[in-house]
Amino acid sequence: MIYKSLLITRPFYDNPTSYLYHWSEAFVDAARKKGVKVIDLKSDKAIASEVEGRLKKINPDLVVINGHGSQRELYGQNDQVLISLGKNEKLLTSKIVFARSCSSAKLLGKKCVKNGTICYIGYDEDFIFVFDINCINNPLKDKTAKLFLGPSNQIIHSLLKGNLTGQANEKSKKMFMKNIIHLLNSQTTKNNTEIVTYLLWDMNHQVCLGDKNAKI
Amino acid sequence: MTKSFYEDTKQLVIERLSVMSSNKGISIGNSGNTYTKDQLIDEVEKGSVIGHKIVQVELEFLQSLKDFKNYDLQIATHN
Repeated sequence: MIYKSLLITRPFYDNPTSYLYHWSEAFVDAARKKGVKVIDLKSDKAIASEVEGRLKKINPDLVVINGHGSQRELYGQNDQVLISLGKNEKLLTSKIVFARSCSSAKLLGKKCVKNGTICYIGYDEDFIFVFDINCINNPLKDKTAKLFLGPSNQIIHSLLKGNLTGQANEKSKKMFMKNIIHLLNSQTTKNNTEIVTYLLWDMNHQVCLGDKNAKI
Repeated sequence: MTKSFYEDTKQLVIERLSVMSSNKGISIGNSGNTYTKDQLIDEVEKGSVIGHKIVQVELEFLQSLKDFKNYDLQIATHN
C-alpha cells in the first residue's frame, strides 16, 4: 500500500500566525484519520533547515505552508525564509502546494509551476482576514475568522477527499461566496459590509496555478 | 487616478471603515501587525502602505458592484 504524505508548516509567533496555527489543526487531524503520513512542522520546527531536510527526505505529495509571505518568499517561524524565488523553489517540484500566505502566487507560485510543481494554490495579493478581538486567545471560537479560514481550509479537506486541485479551489471559492451571501442576508448587514469586502478580495485573489486535474 | 479622486476615495473608505464593529481586528500585510478599525482609518488618513492597500481593496470591491447582478441571482437562489 502506498501512503500519501503531507508536510505542513505552521509557525506561531504573532496574532496572524496564531490563527493559522490553530485553524490548521482540523485538517492535520483529518489527514491523520485518513492514514496520510503528516510531517507537522510547527512553531520552532517551522524553519528552513527542517523544511528543506524533510522535503528532500520524505518527498511529500502535498505541501501546506502557513505564515507570512511576499511575492518572492514564504516565511516560517519568526519570519525565517523557507522558500525563496531563485534560491530553493525547486524543493517544491513534483508536489501539490497550498500557500496560505500573502502574495506568493504572484511570482513564486508561477516560477514553481514553471519549474515542475504540479499545482500551486495560493494568493496573488495579500491574504486578509477579520477576527474578533475578544477571541485572540481562543482563535477556534472566533466565528468571524471562521468566515475566512473555513473556506481556505476547504482546499485541504477537498484534496484529502480525493478531489482534483481545480475542484478543491472551486469548492473553497463557493464557500467564500456562501459566507458572503450569508452576511449580505443577515440583519446586521451594515456592520458586515466591510467583512464582505475582504471575503470578496480573498476569493478573487485565490488562484490555482498549474495542473487543475491533479490529486494527491 | 487624479489627486482629488484619490482624496474622495479615501474619504469614502474612511466612511465605510467607520461602520465596522469596534471589536473586530484585521490581519493584513506581511508585517504580522493587526489593526483595529480606528488604526486602519489612521493608516488611510496617513496614506501609509497599509492605508493604500485598504483603499485598493475597497476600490476593487466598489468596482465589483457592477457584477452584483450575478451575486443577486445567487442570493435569490440561496433563499
